[in-house]
Amino acid sequence: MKKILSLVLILLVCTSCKESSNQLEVSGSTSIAPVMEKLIASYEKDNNVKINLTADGSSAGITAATDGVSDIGMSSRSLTKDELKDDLNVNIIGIDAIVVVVNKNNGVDNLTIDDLHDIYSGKKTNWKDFGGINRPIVLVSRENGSGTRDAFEENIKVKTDQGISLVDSNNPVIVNSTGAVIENVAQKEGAIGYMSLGSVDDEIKAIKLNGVEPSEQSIIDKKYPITRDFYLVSKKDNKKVDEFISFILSKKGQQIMENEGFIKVK
Amino acid sequence: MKKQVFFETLYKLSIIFASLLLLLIIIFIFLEGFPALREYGFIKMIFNGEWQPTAKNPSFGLLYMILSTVVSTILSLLISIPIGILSSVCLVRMVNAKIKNIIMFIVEILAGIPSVIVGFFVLKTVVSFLYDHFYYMVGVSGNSMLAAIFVLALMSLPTIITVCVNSLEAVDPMYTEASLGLGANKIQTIYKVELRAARSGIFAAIVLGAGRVIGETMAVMLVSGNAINLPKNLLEPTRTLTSNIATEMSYASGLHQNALYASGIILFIMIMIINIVLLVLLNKGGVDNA
Amino acid sequence: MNNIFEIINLNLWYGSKQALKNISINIDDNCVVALIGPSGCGKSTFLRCLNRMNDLIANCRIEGSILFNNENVNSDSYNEIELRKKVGMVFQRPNPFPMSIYENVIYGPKCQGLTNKKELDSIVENSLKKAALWDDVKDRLHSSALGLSGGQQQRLCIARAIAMEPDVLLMDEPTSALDPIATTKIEELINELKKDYTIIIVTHSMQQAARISDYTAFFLMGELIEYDKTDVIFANPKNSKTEDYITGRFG
Repeated sequence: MKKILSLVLILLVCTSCKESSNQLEVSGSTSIAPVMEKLIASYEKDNNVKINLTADGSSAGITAATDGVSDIGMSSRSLTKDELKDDLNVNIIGIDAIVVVVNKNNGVDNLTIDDLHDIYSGKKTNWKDFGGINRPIVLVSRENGSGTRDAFEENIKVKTDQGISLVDSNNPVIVNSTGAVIENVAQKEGAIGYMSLGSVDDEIKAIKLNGVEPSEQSIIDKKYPITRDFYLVSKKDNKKVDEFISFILSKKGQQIMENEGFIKVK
Repeated sequence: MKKQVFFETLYKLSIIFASLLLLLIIIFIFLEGFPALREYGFIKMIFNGEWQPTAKNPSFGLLYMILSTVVSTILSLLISIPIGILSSVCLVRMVNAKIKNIIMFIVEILAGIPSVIVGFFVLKTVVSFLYDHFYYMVGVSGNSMLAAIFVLALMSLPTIITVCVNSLEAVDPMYTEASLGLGANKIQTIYKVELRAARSGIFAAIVLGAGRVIGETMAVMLVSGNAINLPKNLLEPTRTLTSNIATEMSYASGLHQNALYASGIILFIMIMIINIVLLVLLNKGGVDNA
Repeated sequence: MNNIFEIINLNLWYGSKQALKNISINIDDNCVVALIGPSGCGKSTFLRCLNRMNDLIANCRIEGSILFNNENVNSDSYNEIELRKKVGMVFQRPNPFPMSIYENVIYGPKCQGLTNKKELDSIVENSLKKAALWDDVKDRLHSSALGLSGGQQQRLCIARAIAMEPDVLLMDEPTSALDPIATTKIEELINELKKDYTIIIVTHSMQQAARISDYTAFFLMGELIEYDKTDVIFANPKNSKTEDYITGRFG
């Protein structure tokens, strides 16, 4: 028994020895975290660093980076004036556009942001209100904690100032993956859902918002209404951090960004 | 002699290992869930229906999910228990051994099918059917309490049938003979004597079925729609405690994550209550039994 | 006296094995008949023919006639439930149902659709009195029958059979699972009951057969060797095999 205990202890000590100074802490936005995970994996393969990732929300990420708790803070919203300190570097590493999708048999192919507000807050419940057939609308929504849901609901203003979502009480189908959104919208004629641009496939129909077609160009031109930039916040003059960020902005890093369904910035 | 000591130690170690594992899981869930219980309050958690874990002042009310767990469990058992008992009676007393063995073989395979497959099956059949026929109702998407109940009934049926068949087969033939010898017919013998004599086994079947139903996650998540509300009818979507954990665990962090573990604690308590209640009922039944 | 049972050329097979061979026997009304013989001689099988309990056994084939009150019960047209109402059975192991004493006694009448509470109450009292159990259990009619002693349980089973008001009681070694005191009580009970019922009892104990029966039938290897008044069988058997068995040379 004692032998086993000491063995465990030795193992523990060894693993903590290994944690040298060659590591980075990244924390913040839950929307950026999944793509960041891929970026980290790719970067760690070629570089001798260990990068720890924590997904705890944009605000927490910005605070952590400002206080030096994390080396890099991830944010899916722009920084407020108070948050923007002199010693901080802020980099845009990608753009997320949220596309609204409907069933392919749905005749409606354009909605305004106000329409989306009315639909997701339960004020209007039938497609005939928007020039479609007489059929109730089936709301498909992502789960609490999903960055896509956060961004979508903020943009169409179905969140109160307190951050309380108005969607839950309208009998939505709540799913926890883009695949399930596609599945539901493809199966149900009255369904409406949302997802990142890169995830849209031909089983469903992406519609125009405020008359603007979702496309890489319209997003980069800032014409498409539901977009958000992904920011990385870090202290200035940290060589290891800068190397990692320049990897993200490199061709390889941006390709990963695109593969995950986001719009590249370089 | 030495061999005996060795095996005794092996048995003891296995028991210690198994109980330690269980204890660790319990401790883990409680440690992870405790911060949410402390911050938000246990009473508030179980008596408040509002679940807004990402709001500025987050609320973690589980009432609706607790209710929908209870309701879907009860309703699905109301379907699967009678069907399970009737079909096991039929298997044990009304068909020949060959057919019984074939059916039991199928039932046992069914019991082993991963729940997610049952979920997909119901998604493609029941959910589609419900949407195709009731799409004109606002709030109906096919994903619903009814579909969840259907999945749960389907999931618990094989367990209930297997245990009921075993306990009916274990009924001492002397009871059957005594009943028939008194001029009772086959049906009277089954319902008045054999089922009664098999009562403890049937209770066990119900407990196991209830456990299976209340703990079922993936299949329910697929078909229930997961909306956090109190369904006004069975066609509206709903969310159970288990699917709450499964739906939100991937992106949850901080107190939100703790609150999901707290859902686990509540689930744990509910399962304990069910087991205790059924145990008490069984013992009470056992008094005039023994 | 009438013949309540008249059995003519009864043959019985379990699969291909013949268990009863050409049995012919007449059984009189209101007497006690003991069936004796070594294990496996067919006496229990014969007993179970009389209320068609062998119907429960797959692969069991019966030929010959069993006339009960001059009607052949060994035919598909005869309703076995009607027969069992008239021919009650008490088994080797006391087998009260896992219910209250009261529910056990009224089980048979209730299965026939009797629901009147007063009638049921009086059936319970009369049956238990006849089975000499009333004084033991009258204060706890609604507690579980499984709480009774073995002897009490067996008397309850007799009460349960009596509740159907049968003509015949079949008893398959009813005392073999009981202690001597309980056995004596059951034997006394049988002596009382024979005023009202024909009792056919299978027993392993020759003393028991001698003590309680009016007639004794000796079975061996599926054959009826000898059937006569009990005193004749025991004092003056005609067949040497009977004599050998009774004097304890085998069995």
